[in-house]
Amino acid sequence: MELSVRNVSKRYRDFLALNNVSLTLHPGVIGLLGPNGAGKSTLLRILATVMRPTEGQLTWNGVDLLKHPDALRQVLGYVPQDFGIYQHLSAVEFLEYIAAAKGVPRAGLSQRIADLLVMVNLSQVARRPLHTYSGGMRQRVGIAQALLNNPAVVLMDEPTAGLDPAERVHLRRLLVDLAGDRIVLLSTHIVADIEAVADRVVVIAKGQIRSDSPPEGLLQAAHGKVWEGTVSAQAYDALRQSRIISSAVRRPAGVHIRTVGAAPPAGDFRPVTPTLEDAYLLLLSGELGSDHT
Amino acid sequence: MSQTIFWRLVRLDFRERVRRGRFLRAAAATAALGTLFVPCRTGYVVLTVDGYRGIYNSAWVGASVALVTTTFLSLFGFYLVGDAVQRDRQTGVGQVLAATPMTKAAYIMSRALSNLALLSALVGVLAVVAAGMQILRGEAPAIEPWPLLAPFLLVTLPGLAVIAALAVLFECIRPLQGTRGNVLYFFVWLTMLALSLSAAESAPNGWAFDVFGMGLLVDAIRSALCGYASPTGAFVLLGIGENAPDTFVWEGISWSPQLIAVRLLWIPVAALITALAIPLFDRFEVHPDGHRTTPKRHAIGPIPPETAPEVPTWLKEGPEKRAAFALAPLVYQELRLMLKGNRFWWNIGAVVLTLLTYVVPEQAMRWVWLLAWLWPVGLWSQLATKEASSRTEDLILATPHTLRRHLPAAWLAGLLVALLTGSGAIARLALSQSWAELAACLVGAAFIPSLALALGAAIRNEKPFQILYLLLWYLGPVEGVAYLDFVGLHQESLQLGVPVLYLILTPLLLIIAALAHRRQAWGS
Repeated sequence: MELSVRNVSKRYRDFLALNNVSLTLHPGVIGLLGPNGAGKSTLLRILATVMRPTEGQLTWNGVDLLKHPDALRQVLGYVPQDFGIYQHLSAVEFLEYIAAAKGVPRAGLSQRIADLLVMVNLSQVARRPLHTYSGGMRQRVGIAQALLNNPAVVLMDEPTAGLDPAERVHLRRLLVDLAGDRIVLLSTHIVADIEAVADRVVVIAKGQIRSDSPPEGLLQAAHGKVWEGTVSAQAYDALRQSRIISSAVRRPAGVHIRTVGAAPPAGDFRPVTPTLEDAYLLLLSGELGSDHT
Repeated sequence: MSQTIFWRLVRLDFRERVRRGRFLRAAAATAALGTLFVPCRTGYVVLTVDGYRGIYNSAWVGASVALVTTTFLSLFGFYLVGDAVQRDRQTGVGQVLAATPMTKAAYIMSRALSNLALLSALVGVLAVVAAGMQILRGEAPAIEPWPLLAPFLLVTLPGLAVIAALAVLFECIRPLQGTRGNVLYFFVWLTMLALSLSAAESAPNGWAFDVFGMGLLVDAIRSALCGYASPTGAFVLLGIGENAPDTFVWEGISWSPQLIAVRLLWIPVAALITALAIPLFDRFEVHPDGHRTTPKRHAIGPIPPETAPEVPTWLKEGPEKRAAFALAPLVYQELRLMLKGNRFWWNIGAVVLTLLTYVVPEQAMRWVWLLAWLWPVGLWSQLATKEASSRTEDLILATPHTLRRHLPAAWLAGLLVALLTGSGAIARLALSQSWAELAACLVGAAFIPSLALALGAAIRNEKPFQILYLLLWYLGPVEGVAYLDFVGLHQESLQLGVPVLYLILTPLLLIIAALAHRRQAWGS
């Protein structure tokens, strides 16, 4: 099972959203991490066969998806970043509609929909019109629709947007349970979502892949480049201009900061164990190098 | 709110709308259409009075193009600008504006003025085209600015100010938002047109109701014709197949203060209509989808967050190989989706009209049948646009065989609605063995969803179908223009074989729909 893009670029008039991106996906949870505007959604839309790349190849198990997109669509579950719903339908009716569009057999469909609505914690409101749903509830309907056809490839673009902390935890657990025999690609700019579930992290910035490695690889590369210490408020203001500060907490003794960089700032700073967020910030700053494969 | 901020609201809204592709396309189409408003001898006339037309000097070109512009833009312009409030609602900008000190009056007036500015921009395009066409025709190529522009400024713009205000008013009256308002406005426009045409025949008695200014201009032309040969015909605006008219030299209107006042009186009328809209504006209190904020019966209490939901067993067992497609469930789903959002009174109306087609006398049946095929115009218009308007495109495009599945399913659902609402007429035509009429009726039933799919898929907006269908419906079956009678209601159209034309047109429209859909969903 292999979903692959080769030398894919996407141009919107003068703006190059994706620049010669190559990526091969195998079963497991893959986190696609990048700042806003990095090209994550563009890459996911291309992978989901709803947007044509300007150039490059896209294959599913060797089948050219530019010619035969249905080869992937048969086994695809996709949660777009910004999707709508039919407001007058209930969650059950909406899922029945999507099921018909996906060609999910009628036999056992009701039970399948009921299972999914229980899974996303919407069974109590399943018969209510979708226009009464909150943003987080609509997001969960989106997640349910993606899984209706028990897909081999699950593409989720910012699926945790609008979810409360408990729902995010549920979603992470779900992603772990789903992985195994299927490809799950989770796109987000929230490092914590990736950290919890991904066995592979792809970092994208300015339309190019900057890193593709297991989380451990990123963490290892960041080892010895994360520092913590307490400085005065004036010193903190100066440091903000010259360094990447990943966190800062004002305390009576001064400002306790966590900063990333090859060398520590002047003063009483000690090295600490890096988190994936530290490694991500280092990577984006250019101090980590790239292509950690 | 200061005046500066108010004018900034107007200017920014106008700038945002004028940069949209839709407006640019409308401006291009308007310019192209404008070249037809100064015809050579090509089998149609734009304006004749008593069988005469003026030579193409600035006065005549200005007056005739201004009259046609007012007539056209008062219809199409309404639909073009009639989403100022709706757009703010859909984009969420309305919520931002509602949280500012902006008053309802300032907002509504800014949107009415922005509407007028957009329509004025189109009028400006047409005035330039008119000048160009005057030079091109070469009958009197010297451009005289005031005679050319005065009809646009004093006839067209005051009329369009009323239309701009009506557009805002319709948006503020909740039952008139969307299809209902679009259909109702068509009949409002017909009424305004009838009053203006009547004023043109009986000027100056009917000027008080002459929004389009026809009476005033036609009266001035008639006065100038007094010295010419005996009148041979009435006032004709857009006549097809007319004989080439005689020409005369018309120097234009002498704009007295009274005449100017007659036209400028429509500005306070527009202001009054705008003022009516202010208390009706809800300051974006409704839900972005058009529903009131969550009613109590739908209030959703807190959902227990820690129910530890389990992944279903069938998902844990691993992915399925592929899906098996069946058309019938998708047709059923499309039909349910079409009917689900309708209000109770709409459903009652549809049922009543359908039942009436079975029981009313033969002559009345045809009119009831026509009404029954006007009733679902909103449903048909959404056949290929609901994905865009509901932002479900990415969900649908990611499903397999969208072209082979979705388009036929949507078409069949639209056809079923036509067959169902026209079932009484179909049954009675079959029972009376009126085979030609029955065949024409069935062709019409197939043509309607085909037209809706083609326009919806190509333009991704429901208004073009609504406007075109209303025009077809009115001019063809109702008014009896043979080649537009897509249901074969009139004997003349049957004798001319018009249903055959629509039978040929129907698959062509489906091909257009398929090509447009294919452009969105690659290679399916």
